Amino acid sequence: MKNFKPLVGMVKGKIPFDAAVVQKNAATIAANLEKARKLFPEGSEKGEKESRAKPEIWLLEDEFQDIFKTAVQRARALSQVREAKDLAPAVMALGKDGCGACHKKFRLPKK
Amino acid sequence: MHRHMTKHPLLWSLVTAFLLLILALAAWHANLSTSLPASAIPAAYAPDVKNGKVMYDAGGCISCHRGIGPDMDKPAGGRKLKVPGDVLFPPNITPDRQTGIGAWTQIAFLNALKRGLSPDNNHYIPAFPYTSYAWMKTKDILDLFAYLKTLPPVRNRVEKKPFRLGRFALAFWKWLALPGREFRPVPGKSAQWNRGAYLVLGPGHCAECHTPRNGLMLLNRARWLAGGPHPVEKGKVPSLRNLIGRKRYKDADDIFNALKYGEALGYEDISSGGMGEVQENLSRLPNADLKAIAVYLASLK
Ligand code: HEC
Ligand code: HEC
Ligand code: HEC
Repeated sequence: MKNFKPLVGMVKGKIPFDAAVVQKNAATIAANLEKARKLFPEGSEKGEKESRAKPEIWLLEDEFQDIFKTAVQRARALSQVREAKDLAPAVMALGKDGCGACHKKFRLPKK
Repeated sequence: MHRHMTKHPLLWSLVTAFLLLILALAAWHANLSTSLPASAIPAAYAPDVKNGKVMYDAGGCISCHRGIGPDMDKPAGGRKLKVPGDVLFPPNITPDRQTGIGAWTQIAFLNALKRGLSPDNNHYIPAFPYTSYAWMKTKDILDLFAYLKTLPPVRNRVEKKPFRLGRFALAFWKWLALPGREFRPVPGKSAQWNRGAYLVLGPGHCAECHTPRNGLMLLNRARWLAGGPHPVEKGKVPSLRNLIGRKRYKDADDIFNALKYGEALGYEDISSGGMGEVQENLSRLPNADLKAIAVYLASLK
């Protein structure tokens, strides 16, 4: 997700901290995650040869949805960050408990 | 029959050579599938539990031996592990005396990791990556054992599954796959590089996924860490060669950050297909060890 990259850049000190960008990007991520959540009807991975969605998504649907919920919460919390010192923990929590946790369990390696 | 043979000296010598070869192979094989004697443990050995923890994290023991429910963070075993064409349940390696390895001796543990042999001299299924662990230094394995002994024991009996081809069939494969020696530092390379190479080759067992296999399921050494089909999932395991040249990472520090933080810092290609667990375990290593791994990987052309 391209909205996440600039936030990581700020944590690494490559881009100066900008609360407005944080607010905007984090809100977009939250909205995109909400949208994506509805894009996984059962069997949708079969139509797309390139899909990296694991069939476990539909076997462990509750767990999959829970990670989505956590990810959205973390993204919302990130959108509240106003000071540079609060940025790193918020970005890392979204990356680890949201993006990472889900890809670890529910995404296949690249084709 | 005998007269026939003497008429064909060439055939006769071929048969002899063949028999000699079989004998040599049998002797070699016997050597590899014989357990190490108690004398393999250095007399002056003194356990270093802290180093044992480093080996535990580098070895990723928890990824496969993770317990269930409240025992999630202990290697109490019993969780499903997908392997090519089968499902296994890795055993309990907490120090419980009845259901774990609490009653094991040092030499039994050494034989499990270095020879893939159980206390009753049976062959372990190589889903337990002892073909990599066998490169480890004896001291590191004994320290790992000492560390495991400090963990809380969990009572959890996990039944061993029979190996479909018969455990004896493994003997021959193991003879081909097991290294006959420990890791030896490469002369001319820095201590840091050699530390990284050791951690990747031995405890880290990175090659088990990142090196493709040939028809006999042996690692293809000519394509060391060059990536290939994922051993159990659809999709591929990426190459670890030329990570800098291919602009996957900027430098060794960038690789270090990817291994230390993973997706928490936006490294998106280090989570799926089992790599997320590996990254989580590696993130617990002392920074100097993780840096050594990064330096070694960055050097691969
Ligand atoms: C609840 C699950 C879940 C969460 C949370 C999640 N993803 Fe994903 N992501 C997936 C799945 C499943 C795929 C594979 C989709 C496919 O190929 O059909 C994927 C694929 C991707 C890909 C690879 C796309 C490709 O073409 O291969 C990227 C990049 C990515 N996600 C980024 C992110 C980022 C950044 C976040 C956090 C802000 C995030 N994802 C959060 C489930 C998730
Ligand atoms: C990739 C998965 C995997 C990893 C990583 C792994 N193991 Fe195992 N281990 C197994 C499996 C599977 C078995 C059972 C093999 C069999 O049934 O033949 C096993 C068996 C064992 C046994 C034999 C136990 C018994 O009761 O006979 C020991 C000891 C052991 N592992 C220790 C370790 C240690 C220590 C580490 C980390 C350095 C480790 N394992 C990492 C999969 C793994
Ligand atoms: C269980 C199999 C497995 C093991 C063991 C394993 N890897 Fe991986 N590795 C993968 C997979 C699969 C990916 C791709 C992950 C993704 O797409 O999210 C990967 C990705 C990576 C990447 C990112 C490559 C890139 O192009 O960005 C690095 C670096 C890496 N692994 C290093 C290691 C190291 C170092 C070890 C040993 C300590 C190791 N891996 C052990 C399966 C494994």
